[in-house]
Amino acid sequence: MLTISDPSELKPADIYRQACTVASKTSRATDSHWYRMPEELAWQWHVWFDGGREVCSATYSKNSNTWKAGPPLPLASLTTGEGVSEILGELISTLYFSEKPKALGVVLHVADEFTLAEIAQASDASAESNEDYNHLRYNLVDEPREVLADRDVSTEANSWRLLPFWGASASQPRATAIALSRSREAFLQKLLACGEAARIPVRVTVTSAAVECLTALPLLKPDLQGGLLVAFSFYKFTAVFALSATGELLTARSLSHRGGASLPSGFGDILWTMAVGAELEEPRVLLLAPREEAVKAAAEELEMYSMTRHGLRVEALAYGSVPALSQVPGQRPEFLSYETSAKEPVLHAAGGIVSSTTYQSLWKGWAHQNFMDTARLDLQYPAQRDLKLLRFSSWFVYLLVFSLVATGGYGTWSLFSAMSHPSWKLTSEEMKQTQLKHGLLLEEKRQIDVTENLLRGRSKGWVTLEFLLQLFPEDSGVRVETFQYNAEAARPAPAKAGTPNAKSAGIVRTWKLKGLAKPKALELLSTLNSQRGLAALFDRVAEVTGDEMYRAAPTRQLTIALTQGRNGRFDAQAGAGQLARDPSLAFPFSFDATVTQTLSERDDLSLPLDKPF
Amino acid sequence: MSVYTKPILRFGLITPALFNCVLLAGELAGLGKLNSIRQQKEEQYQEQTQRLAAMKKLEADLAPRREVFKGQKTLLEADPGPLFSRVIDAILPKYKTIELERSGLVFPLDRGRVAREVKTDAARVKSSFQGGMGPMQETLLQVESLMPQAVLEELKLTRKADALLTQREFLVLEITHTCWKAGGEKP
Repeated sequence: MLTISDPSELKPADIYRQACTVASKTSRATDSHWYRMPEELAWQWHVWFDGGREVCSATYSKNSNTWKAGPPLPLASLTTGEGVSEILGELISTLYFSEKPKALGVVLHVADEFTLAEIAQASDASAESNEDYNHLRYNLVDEPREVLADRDVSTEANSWRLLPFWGASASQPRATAIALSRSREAFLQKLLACGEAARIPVRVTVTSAAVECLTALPLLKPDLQGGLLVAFSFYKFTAVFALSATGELLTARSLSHRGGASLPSGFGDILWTMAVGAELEEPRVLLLAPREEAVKAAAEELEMYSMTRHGLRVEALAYGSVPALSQVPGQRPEFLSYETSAKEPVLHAAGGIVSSTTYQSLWKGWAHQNFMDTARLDLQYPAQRDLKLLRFSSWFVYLLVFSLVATGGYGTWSLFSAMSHPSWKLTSEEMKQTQLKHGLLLEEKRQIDVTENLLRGRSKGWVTLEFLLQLFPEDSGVRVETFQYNAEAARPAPAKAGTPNAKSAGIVRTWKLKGLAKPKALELLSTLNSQRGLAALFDRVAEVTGDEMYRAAPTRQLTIALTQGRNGRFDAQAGAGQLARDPSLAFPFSFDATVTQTLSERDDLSLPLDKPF
Repeated sequence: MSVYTKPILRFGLITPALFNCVLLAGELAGLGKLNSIRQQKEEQYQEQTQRLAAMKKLEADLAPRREVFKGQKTLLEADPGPLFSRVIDAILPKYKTIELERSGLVFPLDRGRVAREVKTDAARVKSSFQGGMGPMQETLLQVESLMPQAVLEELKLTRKADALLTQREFLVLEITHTCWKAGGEKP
């Protein structure tokens, strides 16, 4: 069972908790029927009672505009609330409606009392327009003691609602308060609790049957003209309303029936007094009662009064003879004002009493004033907007939690994934060891490379002698007197700022030859004294010896300086003996050649500067 | 705004949102840290893998060269002077005096013109021969084949006749070799 506390007495956290409870244990968050007036709902249950033994129960299906006799309700249940859940169970079945009701509007028409209370002078005087009446109406609901003339009233036992006299003159009271006992609220509270437990929106209202009868008057007697007294006879009282010629309500009175009589005592005098007070010319009285006999009896009594005392034109009408009530269970005129089909023609009618401010106001809501303060009850619950906000907040939090869980899941997966990767097991010690080994291997490679490079053949003695033999083969007509070969490392250019130091040095090799030549060797010397001839010689030496130092390359440069002259010792007449002693006598020419080969530091065979180890 | 609105906003929306946001921020920070560690470890692992692959390749390259290097190292660690002398001594008996004769063997102390720019330690050997061209070339071929660390720095070839004319004109060869050797920095 849901227990709701007044939120104004709760701490914010408890208010939030209560809102959550309401959202989870009731259908208020999802069902908009909870926030509608009972008469707006499609499924309605009307209960009418007049203090007699019978309780009139009827159901009204707004969609199909059909009335049906409702579930029987014992009079005692209205006070004790017994069997409410069973009745509600019947009502929310398809027994009384063509479809299973999704909500239920309960209207309790109170016809066993119609007490009128005087409005305080100040409040009454201030009411001039509909706006003032509205202001007064809500003041009467919230602070009845401030509005009523009698301030010693019990708000626990009674409730009051305003009945404005729209046609009253300035000298007359402008409004009165209708008082109803709150003794039936327990029944309705139980009904609400049962509805809440069953998650079925049950909306209730308590209305005054007399005011509803007055509202239904244009439907009961459509051709009625104003300027008359209208008396509705109930079991315990008769309600009399004075209407002006234009149909405006001038005043109202509640006349109790004493000693089981069907009419109040001194009824004729009272009506006459009211007619005079209301300044009605040729007083007319329309008497309405449920039963034909009662109407006749009352009409006869009033006609007797008219003949003996004052003239009253009496017209009587029994509900049984009204066509509009033929389809209404119990033929109660109070129910008519809830029919959808009846309301629209009345609101848009032109002429007659219907177009008066009184009837327009009554049909627009004044007739259905709820004597049970359900608005105060509703305030204890979160509004629909609050529950929507709560639902939104729940989704938002779910979304955040989902993000949290998703991120957490992703984090766990990432951790698992990272831990299962071999990189997770790699220690810095292992890395250091590998780095060290790698360093050692690189150093070893460097040593091997430098050593291999250092030991490459760059300058060989036997190749140099072969060079000489290739230069001047036997019988070439050349006699070499001296031959000198030098090899030296070139000085590396000083390193520029920001550039690494040179890793190798170029090599300069020089071949110096001095000798004598016969005429047949002049062509050989001439060939040698050219780049092509010199390059051919070097290529030949490289081919023969396999020495790569003699190969031509863009990083190598060859130059030759050759001078030729006459041999001063040459003797063309020298004999064989002389030639044997001095072979130089046979050579008419002398020469002096210097061949230079320069290898730059970029050459493949340039000299490495680094130590191997 | 009803009496419920503010508490719902406060307890239903703001507080859990803040709480969740703090947790989410914590999770994201943790995730960021984890990603950073993971990235660092994976980079290290990649580096390690690449290094191991490079080492494997290096090892494959070096393995067949080690034996040769060992020999080269032994050569460089040997003193070149006595070695040169031993090689010459082993070759000369093959020739007659007239064919080839060693006339001198000295070990100059300076670094010479080849080794002056090089950090590697070196020793010079200056040798003189007299005789014919063929034996000289053959001897040099053998010496330089057995001592690849020897680099010819200077070679001088001249003709000379015996003053007493007891023998024919012969050649005089003066050779200077620079020999690389293992050891300290150059002086």
